[in-house]
Amino acid sequence: MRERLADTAGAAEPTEQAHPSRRRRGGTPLIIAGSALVSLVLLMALASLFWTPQDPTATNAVNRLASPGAEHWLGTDGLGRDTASMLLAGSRVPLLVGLGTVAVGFTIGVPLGIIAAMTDRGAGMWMMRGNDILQAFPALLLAIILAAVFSPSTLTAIIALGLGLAPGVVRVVRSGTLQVLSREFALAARAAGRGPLYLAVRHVLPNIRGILIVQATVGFAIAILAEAALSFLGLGTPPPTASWGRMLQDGQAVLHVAPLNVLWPGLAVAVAVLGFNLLGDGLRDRFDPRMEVAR
Amino acid sequence: MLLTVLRRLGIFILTVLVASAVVFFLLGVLPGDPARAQLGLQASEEEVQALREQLGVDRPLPVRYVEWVTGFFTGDMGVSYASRSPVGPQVFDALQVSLLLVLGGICVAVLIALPLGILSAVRHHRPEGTLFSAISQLGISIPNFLAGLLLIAIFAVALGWLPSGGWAAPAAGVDFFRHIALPALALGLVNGAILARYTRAAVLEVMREDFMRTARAKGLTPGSALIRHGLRNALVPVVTVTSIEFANLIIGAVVIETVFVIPGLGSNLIRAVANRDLVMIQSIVMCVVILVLVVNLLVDLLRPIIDPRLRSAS
Amino acid sequence: MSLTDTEPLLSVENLTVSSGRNQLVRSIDFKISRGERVGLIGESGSGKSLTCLSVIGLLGQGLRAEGRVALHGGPPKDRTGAGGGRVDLLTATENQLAAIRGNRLSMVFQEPMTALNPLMKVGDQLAEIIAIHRPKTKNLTPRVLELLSSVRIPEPARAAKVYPHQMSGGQRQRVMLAMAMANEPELLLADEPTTALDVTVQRQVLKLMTEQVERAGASLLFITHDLGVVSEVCDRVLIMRHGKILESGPIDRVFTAPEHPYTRALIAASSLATHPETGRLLTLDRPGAEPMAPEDCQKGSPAEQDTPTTEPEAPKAPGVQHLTLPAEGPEPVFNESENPMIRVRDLTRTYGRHGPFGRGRVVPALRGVSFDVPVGQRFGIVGESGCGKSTLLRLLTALDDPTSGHVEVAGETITGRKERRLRWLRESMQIVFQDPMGSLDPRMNITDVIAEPLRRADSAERRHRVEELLEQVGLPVSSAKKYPHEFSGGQRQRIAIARALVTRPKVLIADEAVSALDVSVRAQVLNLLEDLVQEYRLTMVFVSHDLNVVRHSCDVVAVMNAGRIVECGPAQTVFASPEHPYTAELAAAIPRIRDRVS
Repeated sequence: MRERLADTAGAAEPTEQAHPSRRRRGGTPLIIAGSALVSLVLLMALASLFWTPQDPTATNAVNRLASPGAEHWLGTDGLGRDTASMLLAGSRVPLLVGLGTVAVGFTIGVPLGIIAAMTDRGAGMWMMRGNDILQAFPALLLAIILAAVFSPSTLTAIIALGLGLAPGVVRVVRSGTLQVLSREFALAARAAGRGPLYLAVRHVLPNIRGILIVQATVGFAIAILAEAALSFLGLGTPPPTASWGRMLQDGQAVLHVAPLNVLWPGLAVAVAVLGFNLLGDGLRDRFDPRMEVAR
Repeated sequence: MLLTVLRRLGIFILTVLVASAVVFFLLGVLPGDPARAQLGLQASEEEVQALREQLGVDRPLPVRYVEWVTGFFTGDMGVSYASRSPVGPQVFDALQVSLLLVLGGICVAVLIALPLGILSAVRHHRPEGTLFSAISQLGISIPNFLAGLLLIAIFAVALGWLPSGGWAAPAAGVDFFRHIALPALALGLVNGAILARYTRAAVLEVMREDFMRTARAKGLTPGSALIRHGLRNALVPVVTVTSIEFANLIIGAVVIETVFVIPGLGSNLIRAVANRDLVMIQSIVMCVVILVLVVNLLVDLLRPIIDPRLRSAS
Repeated sequence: MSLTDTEPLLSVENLTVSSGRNQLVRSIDFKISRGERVGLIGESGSGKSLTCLSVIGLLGQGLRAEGRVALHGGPPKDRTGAGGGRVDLLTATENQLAAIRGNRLSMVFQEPMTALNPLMKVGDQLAEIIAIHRPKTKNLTPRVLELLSSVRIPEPARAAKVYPHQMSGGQRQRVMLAMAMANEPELLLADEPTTALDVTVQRQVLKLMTEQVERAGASLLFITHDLGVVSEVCDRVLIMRHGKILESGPIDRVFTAPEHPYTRALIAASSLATHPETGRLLTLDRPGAEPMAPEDCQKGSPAEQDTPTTEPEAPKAPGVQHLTLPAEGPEPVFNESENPMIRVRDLTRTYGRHGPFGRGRVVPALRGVSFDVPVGQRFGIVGESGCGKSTLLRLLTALDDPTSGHVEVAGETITGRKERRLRWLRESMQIVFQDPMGSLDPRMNITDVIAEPLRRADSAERRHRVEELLEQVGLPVSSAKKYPHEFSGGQRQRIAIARALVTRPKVLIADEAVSALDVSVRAQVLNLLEDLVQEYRLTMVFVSHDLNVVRHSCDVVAVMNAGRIVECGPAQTVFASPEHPYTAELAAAIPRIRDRVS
């Protein structure tokens, strides 16, 4: 009797149940394009740590607003600094802020999101009401407030943008967790006597992995945009550290005479943000095209 | 129905109060001594103390909070630390300017987003659909102030058609439109791109729904099925996202006002930050937060009108 | 297949549906005559739904249909794009098809909850289909109301003004039917139209559908996996498997004298026919091989037996009292016994919302239930959706707290206990869930899945126990390192059973454990469960909506309705001679192949 059972069970049943679509890999061209752009920006940042064509902070009153040439590949700005060098060096701050923002936002948002989903409905609902209130404070506004309270710096930018990202992360993680908890395997784990911590680590986190990765890339893109805006307003990383946002601010002053000075850093921001956005989209298509993402 | 509206209004008022407390204590507790900051290190302790009393910062925080909140909602927002003039009228003027700008921006955004999003969803397996998606993807990646700078470079500097900055009241007629055109466009282009992507996703999602298949089985062509059944269903998530985008637009206006030198909330906020003018910052931040909350409230009230499933239970 | 003298209404020739290079329907041929009702039967993945969708031209993207599907001319209807004549449905333009769909050809889908536009009033959706094809019709309201009353929707005038979410699933499906019949089509396509409905509702909808089709003189193509349903509706059946039609013919002939071995096996598995000697359910052996002619099946196939016995005649639960819920007076204790494994007394559970600013609205899910389950008994709980059986199950397993009443397992109270004090229960009581897709974490390998309930075990012990269980449930030991997506539905259910047995529990709770499986797989899993219940000396609580399955697998059955047990007794007796009107209604509603077979 046993042998017969083993025989039947090993054989293939109709394949429709096995969801062939689940294993089809989507979003690959987007992932490749996104990774390429992100790698480009990463390479710029890495390279600038060791070498830049010129000193990005050296001013030169004589050679202001020079045209592109052999010495200054992309010309110089209104203070005679080398644009190409600043562009390379200016990639570090956005990437640092992006990394820090995502780290802060996730450290706060992921545990809170899981807790909000796991606690009983009353407490969870109050947490979400509080979260809604925090969402009325856009990240950039928080950053401006913190810059006003403390002095503008990279750290305040990271903390403020991270705090601004967190409510969105809480919301997305909570709904992802609720979805996982509603599946029968979560119920089975509870019936097997497994506690909330086990559930969170063994079932919830692995199953919302895709959501987290996509949310991280989107968080990166948002942080880079916000950092550029802060630096542009003069509320980001203070000089002399180069950053793309500050280059844009300097460029506005000379927009009438040297519009290219705005174009280069603008292009750099766009490339970095586009890279992370494409990567996020591609990964989302791969994991689940209907995934919710907070922007 | 009425009960739902009242409930929602109650939540709104409570939220505003909590938010005001957050704003007040964030800006009232964290910074150092505003009087000392104002007068500098050279000033004598007596001078500083006198200013403290004049500004009212020597009294306990809860008292100041209650005073500030009641003052805020009666229009008496206090006296600016920097200019020593009442904050209320300045904020009120700036609010009007910002609101016009944001409304202009949202109009541009919706006008771009709906057609672009719907077309790229309907044609998503054709080249033009990919092109539309690429355009909106690019739009998302450009910061709005960069879009502003590029618009200035093209339309003000190169072509000379429109002013590169400044503001004119609506009473000025044509001049108003000449001044609002570029900033509204800069705001709307970027946010329109984001909205277009959500519209595309919503329409794609709806096209997969069972009732769309039912509509086809009834004898509607794909086009008329989308128009008669699909779009209204797609509108539900799009409206929700529009409210989030509205918040982004308000905050985006802060930056755009600086680019175009427009005397709105944003440029006032940046100036107040530079001056460490706390009363001004508090009032403006509170205005921005209330604006965001009001938009959320309106959308929450609007959604049941579109979607009957949200009417009965809440 | 006789009916060649008259021209058929629909002829399908050499139809192939493919996705890329993968052929899902492989060159099938069939015809439907005017007024004929044809059932297309198959298990999941057989290509039956794709066949139906290619007839109406609504295949999803990426699917390609080749061959010829022709709708033949009849009395020309007003302004059909094709002039009422012969149309080749695969080559017709979108506009031609649009003129035919909902007019000469209409369809009812499986899922009534999502098939209607949620933002549009029901009456307007009905009016629309008339307006599309009869644009000159003025004042559609009377016709809409007539249609609604023709499908027995109470208060049609009020019903026309509500939104779909305010209706029940059965009502929505009736609206779909009214919509499909609004323009008196020549052919109605129905794709599993009652699969999502409860049996009592299913019966009403099937009756209405037959009635409506008959009255309009229309033909019907009825797609289903359920042989019982088909025998209530159709004249002729097509048996489909792996994209091919294996057998076709008048329903009486096919069901009484099936020619193809697969048909025989399918009928045996559907009617839960048992082997005359071993008493085990007949299964489709080696389902991958084709055509299959397993010895068991041939020997025990209904075709070669005069009257196949579904069950051994001896009552399986001697001494069990047969009780019904009295209309008045206190609730009795059902199945009362001494020193039971499970004792449930006056159990209630109400759900209410008490969020911030939330109005409290209280919904009673369980309204006072008392029963016992003695050691070693197989206790079935039957009921339709919303009867409270899922709530009861959550309380039995201490995954939820009751509003009042209490539950004892092996003499220990489990209600109101802290999780820390329930460790013993978590080892001695295990659950097998319904959904083979959802009950295994896709990110865990099979070893981790099965060993999850093992709390104190080193890795060698875990591995040993997992391998032992895999063998017991009939899976190769090499499965241990694989992930759930590499298994079929039936295999996943075996894995779920292995997980439930890893702690050597005393009680096994099966929650609709075979409801999501194809009939052929269902028989295998039920056999396995039966073996293991004996081997592990389990007390089993088997929850299901399927009366046939419960009748086969349980000694004692409790019928639930509206949060109460209405009747309880030995499984055979309860279904053979139901005493409570609800049980009688339920038993009468089960579609039976038996009526046709015997």
